[in-house]
Amino acid sequence: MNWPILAVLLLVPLAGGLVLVGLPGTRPRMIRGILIAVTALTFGLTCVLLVAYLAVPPSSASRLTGTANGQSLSQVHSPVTFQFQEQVAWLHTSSSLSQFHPAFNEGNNAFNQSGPPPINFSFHLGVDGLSVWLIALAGLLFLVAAVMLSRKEARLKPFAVLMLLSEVGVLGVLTSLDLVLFYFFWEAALVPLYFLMIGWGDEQRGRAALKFIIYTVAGSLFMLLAIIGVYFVTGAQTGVYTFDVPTLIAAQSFVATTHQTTFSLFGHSFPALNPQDWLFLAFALAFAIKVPLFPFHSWLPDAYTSGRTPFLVFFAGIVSKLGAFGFIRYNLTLFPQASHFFQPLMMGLGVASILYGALAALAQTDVKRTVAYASISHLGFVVLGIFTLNVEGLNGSIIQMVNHGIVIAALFICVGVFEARFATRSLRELGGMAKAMPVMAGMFLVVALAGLGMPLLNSFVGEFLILLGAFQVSPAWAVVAALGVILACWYMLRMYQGLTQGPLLAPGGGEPDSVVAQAVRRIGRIDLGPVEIVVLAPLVALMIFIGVYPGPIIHYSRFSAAQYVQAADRGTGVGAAGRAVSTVPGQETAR
Amino acid sequence: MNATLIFVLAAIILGLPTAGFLVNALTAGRLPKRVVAWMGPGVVLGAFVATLVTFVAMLERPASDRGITVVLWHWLNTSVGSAGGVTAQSGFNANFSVRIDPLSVLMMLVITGIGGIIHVYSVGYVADDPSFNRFFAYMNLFITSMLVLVMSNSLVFLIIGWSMVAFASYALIAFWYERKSAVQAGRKAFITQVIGDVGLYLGAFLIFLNLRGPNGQLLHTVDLQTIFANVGPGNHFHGGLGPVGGGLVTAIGILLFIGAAAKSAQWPLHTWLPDAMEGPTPVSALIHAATMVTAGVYLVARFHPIYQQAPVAAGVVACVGIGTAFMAGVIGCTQYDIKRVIAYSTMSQIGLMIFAVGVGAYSAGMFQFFTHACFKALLFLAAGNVIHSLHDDQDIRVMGGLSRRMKWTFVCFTVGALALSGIPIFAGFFSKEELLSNGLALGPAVPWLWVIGVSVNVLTSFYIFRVVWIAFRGEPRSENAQHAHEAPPIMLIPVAVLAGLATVVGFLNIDFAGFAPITVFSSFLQPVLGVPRATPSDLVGGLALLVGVILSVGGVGIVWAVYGRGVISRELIPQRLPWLYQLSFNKFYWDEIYALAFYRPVVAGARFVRRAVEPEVIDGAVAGVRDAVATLADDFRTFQTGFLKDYALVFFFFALVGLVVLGLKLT
Repeated sequence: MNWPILAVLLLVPLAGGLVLVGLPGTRPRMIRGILIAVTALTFGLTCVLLVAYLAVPPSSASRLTGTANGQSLSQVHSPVTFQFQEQVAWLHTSSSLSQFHPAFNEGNNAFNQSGPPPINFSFHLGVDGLSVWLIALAGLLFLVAAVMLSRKEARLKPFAVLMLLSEVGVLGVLTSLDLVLFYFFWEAALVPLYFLMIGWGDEQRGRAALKFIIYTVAGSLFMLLAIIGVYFVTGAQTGVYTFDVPTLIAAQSFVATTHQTTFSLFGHSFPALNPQDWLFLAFALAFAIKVPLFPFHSWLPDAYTSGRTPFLVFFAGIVSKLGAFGFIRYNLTLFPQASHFFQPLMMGLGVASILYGALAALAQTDVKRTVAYASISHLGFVVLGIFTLNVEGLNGSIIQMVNHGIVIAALFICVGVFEARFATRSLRELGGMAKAMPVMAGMFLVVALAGLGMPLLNSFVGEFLILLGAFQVSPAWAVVAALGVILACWYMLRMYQGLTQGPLLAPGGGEPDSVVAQAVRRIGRIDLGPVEIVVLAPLVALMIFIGVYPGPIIHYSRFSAAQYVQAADRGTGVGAAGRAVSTVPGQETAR
Repeated sequence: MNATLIFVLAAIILGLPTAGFLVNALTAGRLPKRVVAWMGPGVVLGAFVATLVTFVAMLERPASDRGITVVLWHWLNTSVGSAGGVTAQSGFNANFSVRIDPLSVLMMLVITGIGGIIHVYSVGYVADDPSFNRFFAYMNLFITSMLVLVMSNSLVFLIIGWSMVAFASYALIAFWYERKSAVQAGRKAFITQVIGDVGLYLGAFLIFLNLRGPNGQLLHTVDLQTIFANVGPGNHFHGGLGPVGGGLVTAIGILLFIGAAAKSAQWPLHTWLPDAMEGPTPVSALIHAATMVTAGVYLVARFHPIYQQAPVAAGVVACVGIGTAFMAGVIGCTQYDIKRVIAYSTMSQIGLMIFAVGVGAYSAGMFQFFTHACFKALLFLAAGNVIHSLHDDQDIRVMGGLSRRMKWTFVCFTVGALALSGIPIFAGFFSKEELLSNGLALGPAVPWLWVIGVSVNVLTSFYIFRVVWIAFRGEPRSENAQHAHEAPPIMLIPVAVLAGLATVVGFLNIDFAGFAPITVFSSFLQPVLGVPRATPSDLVGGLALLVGVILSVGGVGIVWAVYGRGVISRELIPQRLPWLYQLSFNKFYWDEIYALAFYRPVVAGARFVRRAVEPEVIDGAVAGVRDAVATLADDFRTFQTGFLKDYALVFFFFALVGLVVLGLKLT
């Protein structure tokens, strides 16, 4: 790629947002047109990126030296390799470096320096087999949301601008390869999301937005401290003072195996946490809130219930993935030993999320809240898969992130259709709608089946791999997590059948036919309209395609997954040796 | 029979019903009924023809060389080669590969053949239903799912087919979705199936993670032929799944059987099947008699190399099977819903098959599956004629006198009843007697399981002829029964065809040269299933056969004495043994037990989470933090003077402290 595609990817929605700011708010048709055009262009760019990424054979060596910088320290030692890297110096304090020299960012110059370390950070972007899929998902979901957005939406212009700004933030989080830049985008995504949450939605939105912002800012603060901590701790241990992510990842290889120290209390000895454990926990807290993991999920049901459907499409679809992405990109690679140390805790939280979310979803009467808790349950699978720290689990998590984005967006669209038609979300008031809206019922059926992990639909692939991965680590956890699959079947059927099957019910207890007639009078139709079909059909098609033929996604993520597993195995004494292709019986018994 | 031909045939067999489903689903009911009425059965019969071609191509091969595997597509592969600093690792590699061998071809013949007949029948049965197209969409999807299940050579696609069948059956049970009971029955069936799926997942994980090759290396494979080749005897010192009867292989056997029990409605996962009778009757014939519920039998027979290594697991299978057979037989004697009687009969007969495959009489179990598919589909469809003509009334107490008004249906139903009871010359006789005499030679705790099994005979002939007598004989007991009329030809001809099959297919397993242990049917399956480890001697086998037939005829005799002649009071059992009657009438109270043990606790737990944990604990903790912060904020409010210079001063102070600390730390 001869042009900086990642920078362009960030600039397009940003420029689109700026253009929209300049437009008068009285031209809704034009605003919506520009919004769709900009998100479509962004989605097109993410597709170009994906195709360009797929064009490089996943295991070819060019992946290592493919950057313009050629051989550099980060690429020799980093167990995780990145494609399409772009780097511009941003701020540096060390005068010994020639300004804007391409080799500036290599990190070499940070070695063996006496005196205060230079504070370098750079505008460093890149993708790997993990982020490239999430970037494509983000592009798709923002486009879907833009198409969903009605031009009759109240205060359309600020909504559109904020939406594009949050897209910049999300794409920035996914592409940045510098901790400071990452933190910048992480916070930059938060602000427009907060305003979107507080400005549009039902009457509970103020409370929901406040809860969300307090939660995430609290998490972010710990992460900011931890980012600074990583800088100093890694520097003190290896001499590499940098915020550059590949360099930092590489530097962890030089961190000696830290023996777990203990302290004694009341005559018992307990493991004491070393600095890396604390840093792991700080990062993990921020990501756990974003995912969210039980018990940090309290902001989610409120936020998901009060939001507008187009907002939820990208908020639930992609923003929650950023937490899971962060776990893989930062926790596994920067704190390998801590990742293994905290593996039982994180897997436990994943399983707890699965069961807790499923149980809570089972009891809801508000269908949007059901979807919200279902999302917690599904993301519990993702976190469980990540902290299996093996190839099956991690591959499963990567594909499950994409799956969850597609499924949850489609679920919110389906539930939003009912809300728009009947002005209620209560399972008590709705029922039997398959008779009045057969197309809706058919699409919703596929979506609900995907949500409960039906084979030949996408979620099955991820859940199966994650359970397989978890089973290798701990059969007991896998069995408990598998209970979540049974509960998922229960709550999804409860919601799907409650809305579409049984005798036709009408909100408010009126005559069913008259309520259907009222809905027809109000919005001109009862079954899906063209816009709704246009946004749902591709999502449904993707669910089926990924379920029937998940090969491509796995094919182009497995190499990165293996790299992340290896990165997390450094200094822990465990490794891929047990799974290596050519093995002799003696080695195998180690597993 | 080369690989290309098999690839094409497999693609046609799987593709035709899939195409039927897709066309119906994508046109969303807009296709004219006339087109669907041809297309729905047409695709299944087309698949049947392709299966026949496969069958003939297979017969041309020598018996030892009738298995072939073709890969339809690569599903996913997580293995990586060593490049870019990554160590090569073998990962999870799953293809959709298809296995064509005598066992799968037998299943395919039944699925597409009997399934095709049922499709033709359905054209008449649901002719007036507004959701005609949806019905055939789901029926075709069911055929596809079932074919995936039996054709798959990959553990993963076996599971995929397994779950697809569960969904298709859910969709067909809840077909009349405006009826609340149908919706509930569908949900119950689906959730029970998912419980079974999870058992299958875990069994598959254990196989994938632990199977070792001859040199002791881990194989990490989901390919069924590779698995079976490596589990076999002689390989369990270094390889396989550990020693015979070891914990690992026993666990796998039991986990797989959880899946089989859910699908085959065996205790303790049996309660969904009677409720599933909410679906249209052709659905019951297709799913709950001929195909889906026998998947568990197929699974155990297919995985027999594992069960041969796990005698304890196989013993569990046999005991659960015989226990379910007896329990369902007892329940069937007191039910009044014609379909539920047949459903319990199905459960009971499948219990016998499960018993057979549990004790190692695999081909006897499969033969019972084969004959059962014919006569049980016949019974359901004939019952469907009755129900259709009585405007969806299923209670035998309101029937009566139908033998005169529906002569052909009566004849066919009686043939089915004779076949089911195991009366000589009808199909059930051959299969059931072979099964029981094999069980006598092979079973654990011989001969007690055989005694239970043979006593099921008397129950079977009692409950089915009880239906014959109450529903078809005597005087009409309702308005509807008086005006009953014979079914139209499109519903009668399939029933007649099945009646013919139920009469003759039993002879397939006769070796006319004498009672040799290997017969036409068994020798066809022998390359896959092998020969039974033991067969009873001629004397014992002959005696067992005699006892079985006497008991079967005895059951019919009791019905005649009770309902025909009235020499025994109908109130005998209810009055003398009321507990037994209540136990049977209330289906051993399993629904109530499960409601108490699982359903209510989970729902209560979920409500507790919603009402107590979420608002009080989770939000409560958040509120606590919020209040603490608010208190702190009040304390710090005095610092907020509102003057910029104050803030700047504080900022510089802390920045200075920070820099000093930084400098100290680094120097």
